[in-house]
Amino acid sequence: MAALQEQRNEIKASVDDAYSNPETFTPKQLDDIRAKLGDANAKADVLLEKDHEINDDLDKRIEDLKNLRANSSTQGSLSAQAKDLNKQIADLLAKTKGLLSTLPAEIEDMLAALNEMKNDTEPDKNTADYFEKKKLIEQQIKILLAQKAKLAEVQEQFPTVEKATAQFQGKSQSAKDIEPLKELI
Amino acid sequence: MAELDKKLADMDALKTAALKKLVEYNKLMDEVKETEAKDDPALLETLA
Repeated sequence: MAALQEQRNEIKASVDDAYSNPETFTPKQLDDIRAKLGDANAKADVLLEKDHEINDDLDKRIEDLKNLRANSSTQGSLSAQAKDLNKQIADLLAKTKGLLSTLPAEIEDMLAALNEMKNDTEPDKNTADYFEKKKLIEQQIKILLAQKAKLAEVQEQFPTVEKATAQFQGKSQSAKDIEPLKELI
Repeated sequence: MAELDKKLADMDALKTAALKKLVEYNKLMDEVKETEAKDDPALLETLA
């Protein structure tokens, strides 16, 4: 561009000179000035096109980088969510494991106590301490037996769930499988 | 002559704009490299 600017200044000086002292210029010299101006304009067109290309290229690169930055931020956020979900799942599994180890014995103790109480619901109102509570005791025993059966099912399924969860957690380190983790919770 | 002057002025404006864009581009590149390339070493190679 500097060379073109210099060329422009030379042409301008010639044009000014021709306007000031037209009698000193021959038609050929005026044609030469016109030709130089045409040449400078053609060079300017080429340079202008290159400048436009450079600007367009930079616009595209900036847009690409902005998209990359946005995607990277999203990925980072998903990774954080996945880590958080992994921790929640691990906590839930630990709590469930703890409950599964204590609940069966607690239910057995409660059933034993209720059965003792049930024995004391007969034969009649005068001699049985829990005669009037017979229905309630039987109802509680029924509920506890149902809970015991459900708990047995959970105990049976737990190792499978634990294994499947560990597999999901392994995959979710890349944050791609965050949805299955959410479903687990 | 006026046509040539106009083209020279346009070229000057385009070069100024390109310089500003180049600064923005470099800034963005630094941000991306700093924040994300740490977690994804392959990204550094992609950007290089």
